[in-house]
Amino acid sequence: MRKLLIVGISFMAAFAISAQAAEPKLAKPVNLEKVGKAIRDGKLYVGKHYAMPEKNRFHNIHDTGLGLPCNGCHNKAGYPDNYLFLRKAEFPLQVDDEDVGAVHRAKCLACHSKGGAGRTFYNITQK
Amino acid sequence: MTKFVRVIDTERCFGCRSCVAACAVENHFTPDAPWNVMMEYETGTYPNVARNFVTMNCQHCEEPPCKAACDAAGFKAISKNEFGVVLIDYEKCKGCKYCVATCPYGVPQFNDKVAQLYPGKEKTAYETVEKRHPTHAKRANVVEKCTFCWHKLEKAVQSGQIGLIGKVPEFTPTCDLVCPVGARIFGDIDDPNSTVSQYIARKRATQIKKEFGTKPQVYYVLKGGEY
Repeated sequence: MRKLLIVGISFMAAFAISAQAAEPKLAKPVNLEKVGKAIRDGKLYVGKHYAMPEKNRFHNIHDTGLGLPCNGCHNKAGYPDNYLFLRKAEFPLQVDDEDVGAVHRAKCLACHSKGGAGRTFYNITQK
Repeated sequence: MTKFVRVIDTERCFGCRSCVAACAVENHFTPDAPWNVMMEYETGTYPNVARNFVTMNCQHCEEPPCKAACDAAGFKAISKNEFGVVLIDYEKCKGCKYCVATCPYGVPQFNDKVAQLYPGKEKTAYETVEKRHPTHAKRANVVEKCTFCWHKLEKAVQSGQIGLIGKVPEFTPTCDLVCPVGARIFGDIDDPNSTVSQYIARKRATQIKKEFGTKPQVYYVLKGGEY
């Protein structure tokens, strides 16, 4: 009886520990400025090949390095049909089997304007 | 100072695409890499609808994000000359497409292959021209875009006839020459008496996507006025 009790308690303890381990961990917030500076200073390796597809530098920086979610950029929000964009119809990109179209360039403004976390590409100062 | 700009009057444009065709002929168009396109969209609610036509080529921005991205990547293939024309050096371009990613107007065109006009058939005489201006050299895996027909403007600069740019066909971008309704004007905005300066002022032409701070050198007369 005692042995059965010990086995039962051990089993329940092991189950509780594995259940806790299976809980997804909350993502740690990323300091974009620090990570951006580390990349620019060469302290954070993000690959050598300058190209747009995944596993290359662009996605290594934004996806892996900065932890930006895919649908942060690749989503349909913010593009009205008459938004003048040359390549709007040329990007039948799909994310999670959904056609999301071109990335709205305004998503880049937050970091890539003056005072932002990334290199300055747009001559606008962040307030 | 001389700064070349273009003004496109969308109140006059009716989408004939003469400018698109002219650019394709002038600049040795290859499929899937147009330098000038016509965007067409509908506004309003039935029965009060309108069709809008907006032609777009390179905006030749004063603060070009394409150049900033290319410089950041270390290739320095994009330059802006003293007349404000933004040009790509195909020798230096590595086809990374960072300029494609940063341009708010979607202007840079990546040529993954130099496709034939008529696949499976003999190349046309147009495609076999060997002696071309460097801006017309077609290569795979590089980015190309509108050059304000720099191959024409350069001749004016070299022959000391800058004052004729935008005034004579020989020294005017071909897309601006062919518009049947005079919706496109090219010239020097630093000359207050030029046609383009007066047109921009009189019709209150504006730039598009000013929120990016690129300061484009192509102005648009928009229906409904300045925004």
